[in-house]
Amino acid sequence: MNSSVLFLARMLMIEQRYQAIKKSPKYTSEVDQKTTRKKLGNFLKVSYAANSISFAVFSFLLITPYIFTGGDAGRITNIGFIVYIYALIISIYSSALFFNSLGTMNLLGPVSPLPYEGRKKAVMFSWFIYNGSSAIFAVLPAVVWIAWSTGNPAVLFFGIIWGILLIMAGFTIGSLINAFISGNGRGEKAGFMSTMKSTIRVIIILFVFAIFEIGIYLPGLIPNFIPGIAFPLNRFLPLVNIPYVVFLGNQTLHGLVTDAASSILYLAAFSILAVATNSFAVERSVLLGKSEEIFRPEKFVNYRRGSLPASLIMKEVRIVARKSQNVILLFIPVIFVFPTILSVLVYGSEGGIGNLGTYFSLISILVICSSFYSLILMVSEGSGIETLFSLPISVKDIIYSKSAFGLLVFSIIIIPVSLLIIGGNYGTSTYDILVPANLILGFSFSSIFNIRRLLLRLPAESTNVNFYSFGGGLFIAAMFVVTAAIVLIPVILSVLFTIALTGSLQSNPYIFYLLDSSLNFAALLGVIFMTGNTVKT
Amino acid sequence: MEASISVRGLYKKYVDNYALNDLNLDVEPGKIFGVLGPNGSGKTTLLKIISALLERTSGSVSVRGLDPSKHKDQVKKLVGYVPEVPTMYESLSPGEFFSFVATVRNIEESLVEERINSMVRALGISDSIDSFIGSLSFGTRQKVAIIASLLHDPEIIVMDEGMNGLDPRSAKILKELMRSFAERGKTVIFSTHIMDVAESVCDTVAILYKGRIVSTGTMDKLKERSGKSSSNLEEIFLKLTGNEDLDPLIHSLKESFRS
Repeated sequence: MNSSVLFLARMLMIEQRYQAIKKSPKYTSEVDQKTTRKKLGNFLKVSYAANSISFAVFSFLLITPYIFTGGDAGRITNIGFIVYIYALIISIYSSALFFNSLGTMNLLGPVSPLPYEGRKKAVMFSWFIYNGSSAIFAVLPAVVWIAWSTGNPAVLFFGIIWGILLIMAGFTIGSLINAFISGNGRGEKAGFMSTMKSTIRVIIILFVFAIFEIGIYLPGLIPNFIPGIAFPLNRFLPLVNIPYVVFLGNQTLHGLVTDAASSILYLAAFSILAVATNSFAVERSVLLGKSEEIFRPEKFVNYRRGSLPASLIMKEVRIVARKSQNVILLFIPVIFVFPTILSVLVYGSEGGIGNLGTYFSLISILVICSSFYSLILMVSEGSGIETLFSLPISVKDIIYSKSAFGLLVFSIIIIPVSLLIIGGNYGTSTYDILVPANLILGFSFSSIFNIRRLLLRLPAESTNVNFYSFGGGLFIAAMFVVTAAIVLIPVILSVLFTIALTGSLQSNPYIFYLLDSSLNFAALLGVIFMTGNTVKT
Repeated sequence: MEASISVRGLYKKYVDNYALNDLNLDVEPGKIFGVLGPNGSGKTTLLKIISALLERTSGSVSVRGLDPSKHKDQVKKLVGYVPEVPTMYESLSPGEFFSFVATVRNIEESLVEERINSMVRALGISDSIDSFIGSLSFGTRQKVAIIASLLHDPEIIVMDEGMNGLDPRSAKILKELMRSFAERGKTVIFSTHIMDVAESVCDTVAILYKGRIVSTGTMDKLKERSGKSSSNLEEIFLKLTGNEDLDPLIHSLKESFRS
């Protein structure tokens, strides 16, 4: 392996982190440069370890119900399928975001003028070594548990091979998605059409994913369909063959040979695909991704004066929607939480709390969206924050405009999702409207609270804002915890009051919803009062 | 003499606009060639196509007999390119960046050290050699980009606004360096907005406007064509790009603030 390829692979990751922190006041002094250099070196290890642990924990939580309830073929198939799809989705997103960062930060710009073909290899190695390979920890808990419980070491071998295969597939799909959503970029005009084009591209991709995920988790599909596929088709049919090859097939010599053949076939196919798409994606998204200023016929600005709130909200729409990476970030929380919700609906609703169960599982989307959107809406300002702070705009106006845009996106997602899930599983009733209404109220007060908190944390002299401007990963993790706490307080109180008033939560869900609405509304009034008195120093 | 860089009928189209429109030029070896033009006239596009960093739409380009779109790596070996905005890994120090570029370009170790140290001294960036590139001023970063582009002693030097942000001392040193490269038979092509630099350094100048070359030649020839033998390059430039009489525009601008 050429040492310059490995050097560049490491550099591509380090540079992303450096670009994010370089304008933070604490990193700009000469004294801190030495510390920063050391921190940047440790960053890769810490970030890899954090990813691996979180994937393993999530995967372990996913398989826990199966560990305690035993493992027949159908159940093992479910686990196998879910954890591998989870690894695939993680890889797709990390690959798409990685290529996106390469393009937006122009990370291959410095090597473009050099006679250096190693850049393509470096991109692939950079993603795989420092990022993508950690997704293997999403499948390891299931693989280790099944290998141990069945006493079959081949499960471990095939499990890891297929984990790597799906990571490669994720890399391929993610790089292609990025190439598709980033478009060519050359000479495109800023305007309504470019915003629409960018948004439509992203929505198409997310729609395909949503269908894909819903299809995977649809009730009854996995246990009924997959175990019934005949040999040898069940060893070679893409994706559905994974539970057979990894967990169910290799107990006999015949099965072992077939599984090995299937694995070799897919290994060759996915490797060729990954190398080819990497080359294409690097060329398209990275090397040719920068637009040039060119001569255009003279045009004049048509200035129309609008209200301050409307122009602030339009600014939010434009800065977020015109960058594909921002649009994708807005939808990521939903896509990640979707498997959990559907899993709860399919396997977890046996307790019989009806649509309250759905409401409780949808709260996880609320918490993640509220925390994540608050961050994205702040980070999307980038270097524009300096201009924003230099204008005579009150902190209150900034908070409300950002919250309003976040609320708009959240409502578009949550209203159809909650009504479809409730309607599809339990039949509709008048009180179903209270589910999205409560979620929207919860989002409103928690996002205003979060954006206010983030804005106050940002120094007034800031020249840039990014994910690391607010004190790093620990602060962000704390923000998720705080959001969960403030969102759950009205819910817990409503549960307690409903039981105290009626003696049963299940039989009187409408009492619960009405109480929760009242408490959420009170919380909203509280944060509005708090925001009205906010002054940034 | 055979041209070092030869461009014939070059077009470059972005979506619905032409950045370059039937462009023709020849740059001889041992000469310093200046490309002048207002913002958006196509200077960067032209220099990037020559440096094998951008594909053309149609036409032909030859760099020392090589087609940049077919022989990218060979052309990049010949060319030292300084971008308009210095793009480097900001988490590296200048010293680390030079080492990386030298490794990729496979330059002999003894030569590299001597070249780096002499250029670092000449451009006065010795005290920044261990700092993050991201923490350096625009001018210092420009100097780092210039040094990195010259490390392999290129046959062709392409500088896109290479003098931007340089202090007078460094600008003078760079002009002398460019002259010495030309005297050794190498080709220097650069774009600039600074007319004084173009006038004092260039053997030949091309004026680019809306993707076309509106005039090219030595300073004397340009003066001759403009019909004003006593005029300077700025006056010639404004006349050839149709901006000779700016008074009405300036007047209207002043009025818009008064009203």
